[in-house]
Amino acid sequence: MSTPSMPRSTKAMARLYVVAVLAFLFAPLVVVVLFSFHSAPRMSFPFEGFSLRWYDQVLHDQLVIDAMRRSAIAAVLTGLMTAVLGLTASLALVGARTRVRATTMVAAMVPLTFPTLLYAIGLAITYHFFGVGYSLRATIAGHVIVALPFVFLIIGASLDRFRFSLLEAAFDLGASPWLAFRKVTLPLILPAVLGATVLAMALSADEFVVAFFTAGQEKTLPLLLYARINQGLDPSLNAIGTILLVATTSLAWVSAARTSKENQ
Amino acid sequence: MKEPQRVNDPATTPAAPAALELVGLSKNYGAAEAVRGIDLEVRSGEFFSLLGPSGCGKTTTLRMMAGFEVPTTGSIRMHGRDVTSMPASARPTNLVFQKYELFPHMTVFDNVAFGLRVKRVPKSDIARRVGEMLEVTGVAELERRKAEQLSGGQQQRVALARALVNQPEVLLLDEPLSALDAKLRTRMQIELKEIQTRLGTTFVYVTHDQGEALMMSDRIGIMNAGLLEQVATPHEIYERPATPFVADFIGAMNSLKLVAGAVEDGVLVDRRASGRVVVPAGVQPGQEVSAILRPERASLSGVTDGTHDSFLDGTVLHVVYGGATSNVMVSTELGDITVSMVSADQSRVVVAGEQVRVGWAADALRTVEAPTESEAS
Amino acid sequence: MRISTRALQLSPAAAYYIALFLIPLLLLAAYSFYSVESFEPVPKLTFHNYVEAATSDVYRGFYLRTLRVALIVAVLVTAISFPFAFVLNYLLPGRKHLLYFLVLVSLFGGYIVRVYAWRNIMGREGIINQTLIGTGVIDSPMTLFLNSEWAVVVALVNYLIPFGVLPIYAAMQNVPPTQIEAAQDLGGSRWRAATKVVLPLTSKGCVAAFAVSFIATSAEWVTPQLLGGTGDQLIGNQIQHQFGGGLNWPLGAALALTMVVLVVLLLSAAYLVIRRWLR
Repeated sequence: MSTPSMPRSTKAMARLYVVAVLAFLFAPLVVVVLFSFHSAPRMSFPFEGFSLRWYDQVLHDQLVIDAMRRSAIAAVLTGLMTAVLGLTASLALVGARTRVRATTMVAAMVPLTFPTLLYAIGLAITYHFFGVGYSLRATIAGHVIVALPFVFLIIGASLDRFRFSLLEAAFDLGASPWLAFRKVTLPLILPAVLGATVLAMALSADEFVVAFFTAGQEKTLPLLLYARINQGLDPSLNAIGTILLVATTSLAWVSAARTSKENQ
Repeated sequence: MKEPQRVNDPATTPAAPAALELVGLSKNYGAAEAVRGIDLEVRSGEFFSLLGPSGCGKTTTLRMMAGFEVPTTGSIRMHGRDVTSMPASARPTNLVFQKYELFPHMTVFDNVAFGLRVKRVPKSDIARRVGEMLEVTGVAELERRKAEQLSGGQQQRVALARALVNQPEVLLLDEPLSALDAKLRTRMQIELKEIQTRLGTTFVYVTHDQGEALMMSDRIGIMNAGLLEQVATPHEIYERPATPFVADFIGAMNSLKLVAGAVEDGVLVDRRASGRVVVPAGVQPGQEVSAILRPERASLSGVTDGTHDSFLDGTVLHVVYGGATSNVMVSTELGDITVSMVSADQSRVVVAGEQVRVGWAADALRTVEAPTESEAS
Repeated sequence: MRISTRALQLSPAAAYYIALFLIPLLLLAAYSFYSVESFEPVPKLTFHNYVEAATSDVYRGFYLRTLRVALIVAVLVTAISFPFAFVLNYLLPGRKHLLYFLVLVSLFGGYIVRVYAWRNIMGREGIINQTLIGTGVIDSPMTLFLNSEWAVVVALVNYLIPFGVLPIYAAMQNVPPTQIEAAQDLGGSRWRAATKVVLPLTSKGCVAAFAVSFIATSAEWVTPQLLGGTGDQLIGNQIQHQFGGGLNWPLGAALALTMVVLVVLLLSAAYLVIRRWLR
């Protein structure tokens, strides 16, 4: 790939701009992580010293541990369910005519155009209408819808790259449709499926709005953080925030690594 | 609508039963007629090519043979068995795809073994047969390599092995060499022919490259716009093309319009101011006829040389050097004639503008008619 | 043969979408016509909620403010994202994968965590004030950062930039650097190439970036609640309130759906205007 030749000053300005924007994006996160290690109970400079006291405090807080547990359960279950739904749908779409596949993809993306607040209150209304109580399970059901479009996007991209003629080769060699799926399709789209699942887990772990309206007493970690913020600023929240942030970011990292590995 | 025709060379009348028989086969996609009624017999053990330009329906026909397309009308038989409604996975055919379609995540061994494993062949047999086939196709040392790491030529051989190892009744090949470079392609053509002869498997080979078809095939079926125009040996097709399309498609040709005049020295000629042309047999005096002349059957001589049965004087338009042979285009009273000559022949060096005589033997000229007077049985 | 199996294979996902997406939407619409009796929604259908949403001065104020803030945020996000994606694709292509990856990673830093962080950065004892006091620019902490519309905008732009970069970056994959070279070869400057070549070809991506930011902001409530003052609350806060202490779900639903209509109308109008301008 060629770079159009340009004066060095332009390239320097370009670099500066990129760095500035990235700095802006990461600044809040860096602040939270930094001050989670602050030995003094203040979020201000000068930085007085490193300490793990907030983590110690937080990890002995039963409410925090419960919230972390719930978030983890939600993430795993969301991941599993979106994987199953995404896989069965991809089974259907392999070898489908392009128009069928495109329409299905568009339909799958529709939740993305919706502000989460609307979906959350709709879900709350639905639970109320059917007499279903608020719980973690209720939240997980909503998380699946939030995550599914992204899962479809990733699996869909992988399917686009998949050559149906490979399946024809398998059939020509005598394989049944199920065998062809198992031995040819599945191994080839597996990286994408895994990447998408991990992404769904990250989305669930960080999700706030749907959880707010449907979790009831079973608070997830973001909900706990929110409740405590409202109670007043508290340095230990940095520790909670950092834990959450590290969890979701590493999941996202793994997901991106898996899906890009397939692209090579 | 043109009638399908079948021209059989009597020299190769079949003794073995037909490995593959197509009867009245056609395929429509909505209003589009891809294949318009094909009757064909492929003999056991022969290397048969389906030749034609892009869009003539040859690939569709092959896919119908393989079982990937369902014919609109007609039937397909293999060794007497009707397989028309049999799905691809059950049919005793195997297809070598144009793009090879090796399973990228599997090794060469697993690719080739795939069909055998589906049939639950015992492990030891699989190992033996795969090993043998990899030897035959010349890729034995790549056994453990992952398919996606192979070069085009290597993939091609593995694809061949993967298909052949299943001992199909008919091996179908869909332009398998089209993605290879010229030198590799020539080598593979020779190897493919050798493998086919050695194994005795019936090959049905689809290509748009006439040189390839002429070189490898026992018989060729030329397709155009969904119909079979001629089915014959390569020699027959080249020397006695049955239709104008075949004549034009196979090899270069010169087209001459003659008017049969009077009889001279016992032969009917078309006499012109700049020469005389012996008219092919079967033409009545006074008739107009279209005839073809292969460039390599024509030669140049000085203006006074009298050795040819037919000759025309003309002016050289241009000379195109092509390595081993050169083409000289001469403008004559009956149109432009291309003469193909061996470049190394020094005595015949010509330049543009030169006056030359183009001559040829009487039997080098052939008439090509629509299929009413031909050898069709 | 395969058609029925395919339908079968699609059915779990389809069923899930219907049960847990379509039905909530339908019920949301239905509830917007409900009435309230002793704080419970009852299926006595009425237009009352929509009338209130449309005519009340209070809500009108919220809608106007929300649309204004959404417009500002969407413009800022698009204006920042386009050059960023442009630089990535055409000026620093060697690093573009890494930089794009970083943007995605920042997206997953979290939402609540970010809002909390901004509260700290902008608060009385937050970093901005600390730095300004420390360097002597001001004497006492300024309260203008926190609890202001400005804070809300900054936090939202910060959160939404990755959402803006994504579609624009994706659209730019279809416009290879050779296009820029062609434009330059014909005598244009890089600026010209950007505006006259890349911008029109990636307009769909820019529209997507704008729309995503606009829609997301229109439904925002956590950020205004934690970073805005009492006069900076958006319609999202009102909606949330009806589902919380206000206990008027039907009204909340009506407010929400009215907002959707307004957003769609505005975006369509903006789209038509831009399309005409691009001609």
